[in-house]
Amino acid sequence: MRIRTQFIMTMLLFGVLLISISVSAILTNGRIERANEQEMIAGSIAQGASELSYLANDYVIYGESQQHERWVNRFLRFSSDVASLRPGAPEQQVLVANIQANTQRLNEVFESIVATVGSSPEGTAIPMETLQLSWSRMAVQSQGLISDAARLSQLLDDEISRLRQMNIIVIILLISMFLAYFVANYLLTQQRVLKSIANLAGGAAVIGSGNLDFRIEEKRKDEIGELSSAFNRMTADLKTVTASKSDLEREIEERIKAEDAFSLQSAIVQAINRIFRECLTCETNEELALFCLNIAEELTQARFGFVGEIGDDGFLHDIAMSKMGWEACAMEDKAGHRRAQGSFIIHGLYGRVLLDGKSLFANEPSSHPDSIGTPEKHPVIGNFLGVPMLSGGKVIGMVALANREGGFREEDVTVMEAVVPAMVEAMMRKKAEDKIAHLASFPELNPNPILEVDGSGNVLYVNPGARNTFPDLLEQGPRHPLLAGIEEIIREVDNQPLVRDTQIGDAWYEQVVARVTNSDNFRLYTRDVTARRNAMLALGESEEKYRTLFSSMGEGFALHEIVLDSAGKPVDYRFLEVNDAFEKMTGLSREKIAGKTVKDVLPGIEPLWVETYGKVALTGEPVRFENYSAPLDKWYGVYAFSPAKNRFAVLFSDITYRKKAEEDLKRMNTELEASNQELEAFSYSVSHDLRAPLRSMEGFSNALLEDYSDKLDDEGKQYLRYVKESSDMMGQLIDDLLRLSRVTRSEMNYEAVNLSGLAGNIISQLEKEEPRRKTSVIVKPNLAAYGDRNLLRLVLENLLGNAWKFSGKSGAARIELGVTERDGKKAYFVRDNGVGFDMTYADKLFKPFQRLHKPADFPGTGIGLATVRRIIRRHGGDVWAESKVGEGATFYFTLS
Amino acid sequence: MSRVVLTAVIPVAAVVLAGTSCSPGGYSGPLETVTVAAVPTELNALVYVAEDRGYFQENGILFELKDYDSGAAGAAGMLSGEADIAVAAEFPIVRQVFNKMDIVNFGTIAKYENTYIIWLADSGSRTIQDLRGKRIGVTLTTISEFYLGRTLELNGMNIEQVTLVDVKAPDSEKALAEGKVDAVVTWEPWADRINRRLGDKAITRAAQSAQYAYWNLVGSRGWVNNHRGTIERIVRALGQAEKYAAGNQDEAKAIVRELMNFEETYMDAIWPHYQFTLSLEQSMVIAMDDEARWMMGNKLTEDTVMPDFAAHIYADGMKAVKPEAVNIIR
Repeated sequence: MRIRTQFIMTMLLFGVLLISISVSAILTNGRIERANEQEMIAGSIAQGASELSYLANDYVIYGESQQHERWVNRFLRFSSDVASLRPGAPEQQVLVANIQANTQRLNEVFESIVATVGSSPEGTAIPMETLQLSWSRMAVQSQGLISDAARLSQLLDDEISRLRQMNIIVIILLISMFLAYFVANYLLTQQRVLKSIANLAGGAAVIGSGNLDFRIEEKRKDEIGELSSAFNRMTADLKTVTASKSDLEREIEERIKAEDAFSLQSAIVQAINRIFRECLTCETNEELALFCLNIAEELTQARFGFVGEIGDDGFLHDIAMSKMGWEACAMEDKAGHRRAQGSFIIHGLYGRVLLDGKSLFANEPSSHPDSIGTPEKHPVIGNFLGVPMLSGGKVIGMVALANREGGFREEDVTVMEAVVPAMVEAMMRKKAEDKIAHLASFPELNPNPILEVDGSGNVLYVNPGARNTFPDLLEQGPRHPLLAGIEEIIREVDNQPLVRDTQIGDAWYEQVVARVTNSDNFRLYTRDVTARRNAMLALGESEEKYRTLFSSMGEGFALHEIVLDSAGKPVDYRFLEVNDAFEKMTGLSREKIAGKTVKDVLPGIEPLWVETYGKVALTGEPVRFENYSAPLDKWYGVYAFSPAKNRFAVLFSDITYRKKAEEDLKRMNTELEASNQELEAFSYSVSHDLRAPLRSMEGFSNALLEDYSDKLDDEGKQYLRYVKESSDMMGQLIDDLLRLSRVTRSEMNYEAVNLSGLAGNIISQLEKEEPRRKTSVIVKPNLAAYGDRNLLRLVLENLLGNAWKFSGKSGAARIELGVTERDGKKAYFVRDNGVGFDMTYADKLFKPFQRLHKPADFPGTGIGLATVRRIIRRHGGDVWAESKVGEGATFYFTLS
Repeated sequence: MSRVVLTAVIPVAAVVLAGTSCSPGGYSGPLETVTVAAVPTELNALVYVAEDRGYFQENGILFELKDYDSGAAGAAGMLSGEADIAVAAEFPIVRQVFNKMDIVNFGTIAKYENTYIIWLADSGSRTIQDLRGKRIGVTLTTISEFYLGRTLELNGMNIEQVTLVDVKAPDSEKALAEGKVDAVVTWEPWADRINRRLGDKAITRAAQSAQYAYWNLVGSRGWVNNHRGTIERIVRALGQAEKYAAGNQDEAKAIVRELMNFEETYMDAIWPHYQFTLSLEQSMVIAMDDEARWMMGNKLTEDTVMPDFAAHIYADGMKAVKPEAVNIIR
């Protein structure tokens, strides 16, 4: 819709609304005024009815004509008021009708009264009855009128209130409509006009900036839409007559690009020409590579780079590096040239180029996933370009460039990918030339004599080696001893060269006579083999010695060849060579088994032998094993290895005797185990069977002492105490013996044991038992050992218990647990400053029931140290003691 | 525009509508049956309209009309327990008050002038004064008796100078035709029927001396005291009928006409003489005082002390519905 139409419609709508509301407001105001006027009339009627009632009463009472006239005059005004009532609402109309009817009645009643009163002669008193009747009649009428007039006034007042309320509503509506109009107008203007104008202005600005392709949106069908359309038409027209700025720029850009491309192509062509020219003039491949590198740097504006080749060792070798790179990464070679430090592992960015065979450039190489950084002092690489050198589809090297100002571009890649193949070609050609030159130089450089002769043996060429070795060769020609019989040899030479040995003086020469390809000439490659012949003679002697050793060695030796089935699985083996010891240990003679397979010789041989040897022969992995051969009824300790593919040798010894000894030992162990079990049963029986009578002895001794104390003299009581002590002692003895027995047989559970912790607990227990005793105990912290925790606890209980016991009578008892070193092993010790012992009896210490002190002085069973020794020995260690009488004792023990 | 403008306008409109709309009241309780002793007359127009329009039902009232010959008879029947309320003119109320009946007026439903003195033209009487000594048929105890007396007084006579014959209004034409009376005082529609039937042969004069009679709803004081809510609902229903009749006069007339089986010409003739407005006016009290004085003056009651008729008016129901229509001076 057009803006003008919108505007007109909006204004019309608003105008209609405004007029309607205004008219409504005016009409309402008019109605209010009219209602006000009517209300005033109603009030006047009520007042008039009241006044007429007064005047009527005045007239009735006095009958004077002026009262009559006054009533009539007032009634006329009253009637006029009633006549001027213009009721609106139906209820008002009803009331007005009532008022009008009542007015008529009022007049009728007054006329009736006038007739009555007037019939009385003037001056005579009007009868009371008449007065009362007239008053009542007038009162009824006037009161009715007053009521109706008041009611009408009330209705009119209600109407006025209602109209005023309506007026307020109309005013509110008017204000609301204004607000709505302004809001709607604002929104319409904003939505339909201002936005469109902004869109138009924006589009005009774009077009004004020269973009004649831009089109302003024409979504509205109004003046702005038309303006937009006009703009667009104008832009289109402008574009048809004038090339737009963008077209010109594009054309210029394309022209520049074409020129750039041409320049690039020229540079590439020139570079390729220069490379191939250099290829013709340079002396070395390195020079050519450096030239190529310079060309690459020149083309790409890179600051430095390198050319590298992948060597046979799989590493990258720099063959050219720009000056900057040399300074940082190169060292001088023997010739004084600065050379790369060596080969480089293929990794990093350049590695990625070599691995992928694709060009790669990175302008932020440090953030590239393949980046591995740079070595110390390496120039900072700000950007990187690597182009692979390909030959026959294979990556043979690369050209790497770095630090182009502003970073590398795709076109640098394009240029390099165009130039590098030329570099590769030039370098390959240079290499080929070098190789040819190199090959050509072989005879010249070869120190061995090389000759070329014709079919008659005439010498055509001799190399410096030949000239040096045989100075008279050219002079003597075919008569030279070197060429003796050469004609016969030549005749026999076909495609395969012939070899012969020729002796000249003491020297022997090996000659290889070969036909020169596509020629009737022959070339003779000669070398001095005198030393080799001598060596072979020496070797013959050596082999003899070896034979002797082979035959005389104590271990059996045999060389075999594995026999495989069609699937390549070992199924048999063949004897190739055996020594004398083999014959002795197997009972198989060399003659009988030579060339035969083991299954021929020993049909019942166990499959394990073939499988084991087959694995050795096929994998080359040696094995060492022991096995029993049923056919030979012998045990062998075998070492088998593979000296060559599908072959294996065995070195073996007869261990039948040892095996039998082991079996005997095993059997004895089994028997010993059974014996131990019997001993266990015995011990159990002893512990129970002996304890029962002991308990009886102790019990009855106590009973005698308690119940028959009065019947026993002191000596009898003392005997009984001896009996009790002896039974206690025997009980202790049984316990110790059982412990000793268990120590020997219990299963060992090895683990890391903190001896210091165990000792601390044991000392604490001892101190609890004798709380008043003062003993200085020194335990080296964190003494670690590896053994059975329970058994080691028993060791420490015995040793620390002994130390505690035997130092009990010292003034300042001192006990120490520590570790020292003896014969390179840890030796734990328990030291005390107790009574000590005489070292003369030291060997008795660890035997059961051996005691060096009287039981009365130091009680005990004599089992403790025996238990200690058994435990220590079970741990693979040793225990010993050092002491002097009165100076304490030190018990050492080691663990394996 | 729209959404914004509408959202601006709708609240305003809502405010406006809220200010102008009326909330229709409504009675939600059970229907209450009210038996009404009434003369079947057009004076009950508001009752008929309310019934026809369902206003009584809306207000929980089931109006059961019980026919009587006159308002006085209806009032007497109501007071004897034959109906809950009655419709009667103010004169029977005056008489019942003199009879010491505790009758209460709780609303005037019409003011009217429909009582006439009719005699035969060939009787020789030309004026009211000519009826002196004649037999005049009238329904005694009704307001027509008072109007007859008042008319005679205004013509220099009193009721003792005529012979009053008690004739029921429906029988007035027959009594006149049969010569049982020389004149009858009767009201519409019987007066109209006599006039239409006799035409010029009958002389008809207005009997109310240009004074409206008041057609009222009355009940015993006991009933009124116990049915204040009922009265208010009755008055409210009649107020609705009044409003309807004021705005739809033809429809209201049609309702009455069809109900009463009247002719349209009759309705058109009598309607201007009626005012169907609810009220309780002081003018009615003045009229009742006047009628009481008349009764005392004519020895129609032994009482000599003017009763306080305002005390026999219950105005709360009317005030609750149409307060501007009440102007009783107490």
